[in-house]
Amino acid sequence: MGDLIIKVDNLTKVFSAGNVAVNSISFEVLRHQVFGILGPNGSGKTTILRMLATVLEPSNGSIVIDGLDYIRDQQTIRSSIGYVPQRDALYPNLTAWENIDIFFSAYPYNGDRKKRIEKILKKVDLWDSRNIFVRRLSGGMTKRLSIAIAIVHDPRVIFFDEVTMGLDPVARSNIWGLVNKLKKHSAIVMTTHYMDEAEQLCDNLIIISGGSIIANGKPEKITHNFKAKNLHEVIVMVVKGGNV
Amino acid sequence: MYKVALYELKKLLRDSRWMMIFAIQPVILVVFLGLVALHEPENILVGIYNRNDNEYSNQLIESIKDDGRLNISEFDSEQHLRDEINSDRLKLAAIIDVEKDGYIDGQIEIIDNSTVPEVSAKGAEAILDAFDDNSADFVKENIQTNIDNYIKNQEIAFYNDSEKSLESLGTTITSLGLPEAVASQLQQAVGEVKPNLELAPTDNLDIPRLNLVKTINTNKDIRYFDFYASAVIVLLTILIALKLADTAITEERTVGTFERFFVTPYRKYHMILGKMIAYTILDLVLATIILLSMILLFDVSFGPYWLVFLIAFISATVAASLGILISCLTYTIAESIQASNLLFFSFLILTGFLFQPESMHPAIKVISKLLPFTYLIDAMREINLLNMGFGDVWQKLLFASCSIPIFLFGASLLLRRKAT
Repeated sequence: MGDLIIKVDNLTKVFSAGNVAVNSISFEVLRHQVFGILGPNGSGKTTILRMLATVLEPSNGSIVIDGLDYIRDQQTIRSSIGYVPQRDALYPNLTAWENIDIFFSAYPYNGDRKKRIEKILKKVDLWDSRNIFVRRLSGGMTKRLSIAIAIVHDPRVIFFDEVTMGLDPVARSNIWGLVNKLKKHSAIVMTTHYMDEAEQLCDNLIIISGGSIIANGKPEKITHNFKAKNLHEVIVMVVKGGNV
Repeated sequence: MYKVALYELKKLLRDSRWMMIFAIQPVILVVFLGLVALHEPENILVGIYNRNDNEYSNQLIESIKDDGRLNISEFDSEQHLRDEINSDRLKLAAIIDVEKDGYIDGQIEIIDNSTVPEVSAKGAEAILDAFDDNSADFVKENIQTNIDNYIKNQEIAFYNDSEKSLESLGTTITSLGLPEAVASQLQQAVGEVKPNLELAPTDNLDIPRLNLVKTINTNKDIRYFDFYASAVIVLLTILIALKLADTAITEERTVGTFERFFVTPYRKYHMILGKMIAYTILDLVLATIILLSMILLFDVSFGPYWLVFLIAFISATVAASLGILISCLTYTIAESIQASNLLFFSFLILTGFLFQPESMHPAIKVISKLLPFTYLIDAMREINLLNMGFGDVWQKLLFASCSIPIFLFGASLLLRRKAT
């Protein structure tokens, strides 16, 4: 395992209605690691991910990414992270190439931008579809394009928010392959509802319920601690009020 | 920013349905407005009371009646006439007062049933601008023409009579068999009178003219639609450009690209200015379509085309920047649409298109004066109707243009890049 790349300390998010979405959580993520955030619906997974991705402002606590402070160095942090939101969030009237180009142009890059986009499109297996409008791409293809946009600037950390949701098994398998390739260069933080996915991909994970961490560690260790057969059972126990 | 602008344009232009609506919308609106305002009024109910019944006043009334476009009714009392117009059964009432000597010596009072109670110069302008009062205004013009013709006929009659007298005098001098020197002197005297006589109607006759409340300070042949056209160009460009931009950011929020955009190092001004550049280019197209529609379909009487185009373009750009400000302040497409509708209809009321500043509450008058669109409508009217040039309107255009950076700066300040 590599060294520390994300350090989260007492992270809290209280929404304006007084709803505590995330309650003083702390965890660490290492380089070249796939870190999972699991939990039932409404547990606060996406809120944590959005705070890490600089989309949401934390109410309290600190986040340090690659040695950079979330508040002081937000703009620099943005250059070194990639974010794949739950929704595809793409421009339907632009082609796959153009969708990458518009977001890539936000980042400083010294090399040949066209070659870089070409390389990324090939990496996500969309090179042949580069000139097709996004509105005509399949669900799996748009998800791969969404990943391509997140990785085109070679980020140190990539955030995946339920990236395989709604995809068929083949498309999911393709995404898993991509994630395994990407972890060689970047740390990956992902939320997912699929427990098999978490078991397959995550080196480390936290289980969240009601905005607090219920369990933290490697998938097999958590399963063992809950005396469960797999993570699926762990989540069912969490939902029903079981604990470690 | 260049890429944001480029792809914003591509996004819009690749949507064929959007493109069709964008291009056809101004043409359809121009056609509707043009046809509504171009139609010459007919069969207008006009009441006349003859205050001083004599040969000459009857001649005048008959000449007015000869105009088939007016439906003239004579009334036997002034009160009856006033009752009829107050009950809205007449479009216009005229009280004719012609002295027995044939000259229009008294007042010709014209009462119209417009919503402006005191018809002052400004009030008349308000009537002029209101669609409902087209026909009243037309009638005023029509009666004025009839009166002008009547006066002219009187002048001609006077001249003809005088000329006949002189000819007769010349014949008499010849027939008298006077000594040649005397006859020559007399004939010379008659000859000197003739050229002076030609000036007589204008120089010597004191013919009072009908003092119409409506005065249009223009040396052009202006039709009704020409008055509307100036304001219509500005208002159409505002409407379309505002609606074009009012969901620029909220749509990004809805689709989710807004969130993705701001996870990158892009800053708020990149998005705002990028979009503004794209809309500015579309505004050029919009101004062109509207002006071409006006010129080709209705042959509207314009001032210098480049200046009319500049004002239309500034109007569209100000509206686009305001649209972006709205889209930064609102969070959903429905909110943006409602906010822009509210603003547009406020402009319609406040910019002097429907109501003149003189009739406004002092506080509203101040607001009207602060609106850039008030100045743009004024400038457009001055260029098209009063033959003014760039030197006369540049301050108004500068004031309106200054609102563009103000709106964009406000948009940048108020845009919240994070959800709460």
